[in-house]
Amino acid sequence: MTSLLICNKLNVQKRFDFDAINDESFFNRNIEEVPKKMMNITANFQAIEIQLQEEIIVEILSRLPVRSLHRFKCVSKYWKALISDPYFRMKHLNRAKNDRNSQKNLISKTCFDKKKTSDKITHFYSSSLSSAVQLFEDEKEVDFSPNWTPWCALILSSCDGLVLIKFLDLRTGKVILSLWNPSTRESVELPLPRLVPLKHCICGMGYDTTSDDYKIVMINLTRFAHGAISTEVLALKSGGSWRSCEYPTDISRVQGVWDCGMDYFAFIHGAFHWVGCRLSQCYIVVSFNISNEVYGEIPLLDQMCLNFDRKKLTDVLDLGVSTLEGMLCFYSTYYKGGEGSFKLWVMRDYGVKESWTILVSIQDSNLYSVRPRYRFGDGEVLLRCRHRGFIKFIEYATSRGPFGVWPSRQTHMQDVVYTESLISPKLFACV
Amino acid sequence: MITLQSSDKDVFEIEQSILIQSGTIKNMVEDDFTFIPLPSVDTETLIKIIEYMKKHADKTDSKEKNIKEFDKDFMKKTLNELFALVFAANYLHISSLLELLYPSIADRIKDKITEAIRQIFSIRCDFTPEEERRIIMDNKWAHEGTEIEGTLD
Repeated sequence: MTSLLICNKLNVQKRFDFDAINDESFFNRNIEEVPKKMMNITANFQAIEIQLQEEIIVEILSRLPVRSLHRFKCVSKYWKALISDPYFRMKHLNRAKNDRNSQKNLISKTCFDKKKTSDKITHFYSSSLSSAVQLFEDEKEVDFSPNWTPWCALILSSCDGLVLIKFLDLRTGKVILSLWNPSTRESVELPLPRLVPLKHCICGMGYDTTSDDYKIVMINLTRFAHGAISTEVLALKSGGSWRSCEYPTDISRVQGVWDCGMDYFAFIHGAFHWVGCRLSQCYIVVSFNISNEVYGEIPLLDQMCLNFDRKKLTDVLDLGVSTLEGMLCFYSTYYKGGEGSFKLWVMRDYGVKESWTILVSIQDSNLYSVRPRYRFGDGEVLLRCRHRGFIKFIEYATSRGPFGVWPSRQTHMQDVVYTESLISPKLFACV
Repeated sequence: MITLQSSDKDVFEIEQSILIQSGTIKNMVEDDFTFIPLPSVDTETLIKIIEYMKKHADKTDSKEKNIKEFDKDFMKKTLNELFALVFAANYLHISSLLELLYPSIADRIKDKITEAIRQIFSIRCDFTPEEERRIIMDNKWAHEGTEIEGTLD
């Protein structure tokens, strides 16, 4: 295109004749005879042709799944360099975030049968989230790492295709915190937080646009944690060690059924979110901004915080926040006198109290701890449930009804949704 | 009416309103060109491009379903044809056609073996056999699977 415009600026006749250049004898002419301007045009045209090819290849490659890209690394040196380029990886990630076919579900299974101590090795499985049916039919085991044998692994958080895992390495007996990309199979070890014991922490991981860095936040909020609440932050690229941040003194922990009501923090609008209890009276959503590390609050509607009697052991409440399709959502499972009730609200306008809208409401006596995980294209919400009789393993249901029970009932299971990406944990080797 | 000339010297007279879907042609029309030679686009490809632009010129709501059906059928071509189309659509800056071609091509090539990719893109392998073997071993899991095939289309 540019070459044609150059021709126009030379004031060549409006009907430009390419015959002169296409004629082979043109190229056989003595080089001094060729007018300089014509030579420039030819050179520009060839350079543009090559550039167009690169543009096209980048556009096609950025739409390929991670597995294909890893296979195509050996096509040529140029392709390998392109696939490894950080800018290309970001372009690929930004496209994958909006592509339903790139969303996957990671499940960890650890046998907790005391008689089978050798089986406590955790196995990981990945399945497609293109539909509820695919979740079961498409399950494939994912090898974690040749360096470690993960024993009793816990999934802590996930962001941009990276998953944070904590486990005990059978070979060394060490507690390891690892950043893993299940799509590329790469993993790296991270330092452990200094003050808060890992087993009492809830985690969150997010990308901070201000510092162009990923940050991990850990707060000792689980039901077994006691004493002062402290926050620790790790910036992956810069720093390489954990920093402590103070926690608001007037907000206390929330106790859920099995933990604090959440598996990991909800990261949205540049902040981590979880549920706190202000002055033992009302529940609020606490936020922690990833860039300036300032705490904030998001109010809940009165009907979202039910009054219930903690002394009555049959009354159980499990609540927390999560994200669905770019919106903050609040969920609660309330079990009272044989009747279970699950409600899910979404905040249509972030920060606006009146915009809390109920999305799902289910009554079922078997509901115990229900958490929303993902919204399918047809609007159905994938729910991860725990069964009252067998709390350590998980079941899935959708907003339209229950389905699928995982076969083994002596397995401790965890799950997290992740995006297939090329982001490499090896960029963050801060140990 | 604007006249387009393919690299094979065939000429086509098309209404300006249809052709402005091409950013390149739109710019040339604004500069008062009425005869536009396209040395990068052969006749076969140009015919298909014109067919696409004619179909997409009328974007009224009632035609939307028709257009979607047309697009789906339009992609049912050989890889060579799709490549010629993507090169031409890029050169002519027809973004809607590019947004259709890129994912279609990606989908067609995603399960191919590396040798098929090299042939399709006319790429010469510049790795030594040892280097190539090492890259394959590092990414062994990506080379295993029943869905991987070696056709050139």
